[in-house]
Amino acid sequence: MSRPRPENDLPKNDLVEAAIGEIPGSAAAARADGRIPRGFEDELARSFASIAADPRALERAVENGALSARLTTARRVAGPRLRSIERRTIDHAGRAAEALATRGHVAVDHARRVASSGGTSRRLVRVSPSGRALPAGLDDAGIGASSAALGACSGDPAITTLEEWIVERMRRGPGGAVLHVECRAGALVRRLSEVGFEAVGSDPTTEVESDTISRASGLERLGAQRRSSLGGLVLSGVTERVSPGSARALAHLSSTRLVQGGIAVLVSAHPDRVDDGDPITSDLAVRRALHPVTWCHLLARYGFGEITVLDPGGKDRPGDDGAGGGRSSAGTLYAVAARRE
Amino acid sequence: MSTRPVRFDQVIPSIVERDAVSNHTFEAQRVLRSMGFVSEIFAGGWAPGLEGRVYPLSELPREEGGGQWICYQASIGSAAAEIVAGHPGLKIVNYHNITPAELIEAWMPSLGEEARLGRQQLGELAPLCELGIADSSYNAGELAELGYRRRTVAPLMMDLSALDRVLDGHLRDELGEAKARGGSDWLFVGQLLPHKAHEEVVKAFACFLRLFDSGARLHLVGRPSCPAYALAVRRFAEEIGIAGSVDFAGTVSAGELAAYYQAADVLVCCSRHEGFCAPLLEAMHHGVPVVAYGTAAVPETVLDAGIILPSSAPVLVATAVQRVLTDPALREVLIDRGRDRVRTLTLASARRSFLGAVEQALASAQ
Repeated sequence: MSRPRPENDLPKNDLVEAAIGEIPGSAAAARADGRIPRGFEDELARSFASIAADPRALERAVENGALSARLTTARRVAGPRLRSIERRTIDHAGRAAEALATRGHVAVDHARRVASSGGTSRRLVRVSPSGRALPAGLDDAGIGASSAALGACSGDPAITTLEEWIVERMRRGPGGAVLHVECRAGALVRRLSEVGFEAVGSDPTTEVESDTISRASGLERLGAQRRSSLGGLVLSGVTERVSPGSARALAHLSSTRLVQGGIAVLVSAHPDRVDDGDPITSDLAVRRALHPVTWCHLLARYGFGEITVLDPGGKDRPGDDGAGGGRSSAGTLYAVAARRE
Repeated sequence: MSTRPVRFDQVIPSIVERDAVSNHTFEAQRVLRSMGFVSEIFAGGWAPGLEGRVYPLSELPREEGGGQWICYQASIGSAAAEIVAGHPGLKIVNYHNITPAELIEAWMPSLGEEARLGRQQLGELAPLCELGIADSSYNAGELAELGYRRRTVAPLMMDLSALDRVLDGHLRDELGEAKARGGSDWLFVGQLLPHKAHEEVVKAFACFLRLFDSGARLHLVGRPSCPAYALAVRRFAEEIGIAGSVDFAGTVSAGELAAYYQAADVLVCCSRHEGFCAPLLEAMHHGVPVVAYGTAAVPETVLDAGIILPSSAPVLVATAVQRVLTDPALREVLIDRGRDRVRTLTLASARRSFLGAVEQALASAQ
């Protein structure tokens, strides 16, 4: 071993030098006599190498951990002021007030869902001729038709078409990090990862929590995302149970979390095609799916351009790709894509 | 014959408090002012609270005609180096080593790029500088390779006694209680960065638990500057089943650091690269024996005041630690040699070395 000896070197010490000379022999003896099992050191090396094999995955895991901390903070901040925040409209004059209001909407929405779902459902059951509490896919359990469709590998060609349309839209953006809010089992997240995006997802009910998929609800997850940190954003599920206030909050949040040029895609069940023609149920729903034109309006208002709609089940479907209309799950869905300007 | 310049300013990419290079820069300012120079520090960035002590690079004065010297504190790539290169003043570089990019870029691509840039900039500054001051012979060797014709070694200016003035009593008691229950305390101090090789310390510690002392504890003190790497080390400790014995202390106060040194039985360093490694000297100052992998400037910093190993093989390191803990004569010698070593690197002597280097630069320009 080469050991530099600068001018101010101290004299060697025989005892230290002797010990340094003997230590390798003692270590070899520990290996030879079996006190350290054969291959133990190699196993340690393999173990760390396997953990360290994908630093980017570790970075995402760190980000998810930081996200949890930010969620906790957001809930704590919003907590004592829920009622006053609930009454507050989004104040375009002040970014801080707007951010506070957004946090409020998130927390209020959550609290309402928990507190009122039973009562609301019972009332709606009584007035709904079909006996359904809410339109199909808009149940208060938190998962809508769009998340169910995009989250699992269904093999449905119409869903595949929708997925590929989303991928194609995302490719028009800056790339990088893409978040799928309410991703369920994460099929779309995996598809986006396959084509090179740093895709992550969140879902309040997911059973496949991992480095790329975290368990968190829609608006909360998006609210906790750092500003201007996403190249792409896919929203499903949460888009089907929005109140007017939370729809605005969702559009605003999407705008602030995307980088300039970032792509937002909102996927939702179409309200005209999922309620079995029951206008009472549809109109009285506390949270509902919106028409594509409403999302277009909101996205334009919150700084998006190049807005396009894919509506396979609509009258103006862009070519008959076999997605089908009527009652199939794909036929109920539409998607709106927009670029943050 | 030129007249003695009035200004001797320092430029540094960024500066914080309680960081070895930052502390050195503040000490250098004191030395330069004691020599009669007007001397300010100009930085690309600084920690809150340093306003008034540090100024932005845009305010760096530009005096022509040899009336101003610039000392560039080099440890990473930075736009500050470009500013120094284009400055009309006479220049010296004070080099604290730049970690080789290949040791960090897999984890931190941007830092790797900065490191690469730093070495390139250091080379570009070589023909523009009157002198290269290195804080170790190892670093002086790197300066020579980069084309610095005139070089000198002046150690890092560190006030090791500062840790004697602070001690976190609560943590000292907590660590003392754990020690009273048995088991030895390993310590490593360093930012959680990949080239510091914390995982090698953990591997050695795992072997030590198995071979010698199942009640031992490992304290890893240092900022998790690379969060993904820090997570990997933590997961590794969990996966091999020793997480309960490993204390990821993170960033600590000066008083807490003093408590960790006071409780430590040995400081174990398996870094793959160190340009100086101040914690080795801090450990010696506190009477803590050192076991270290002898890479880069580590052997030069430790000299014979520690056990320097030819590799960081886990069983080798564990065996060395056991030898230090169980051989009272060796332990006593290491502690004594460590204190002797620290005495050669006191703040006062380091100040004299730096002052001598500055005088050498001034003379070379005349």
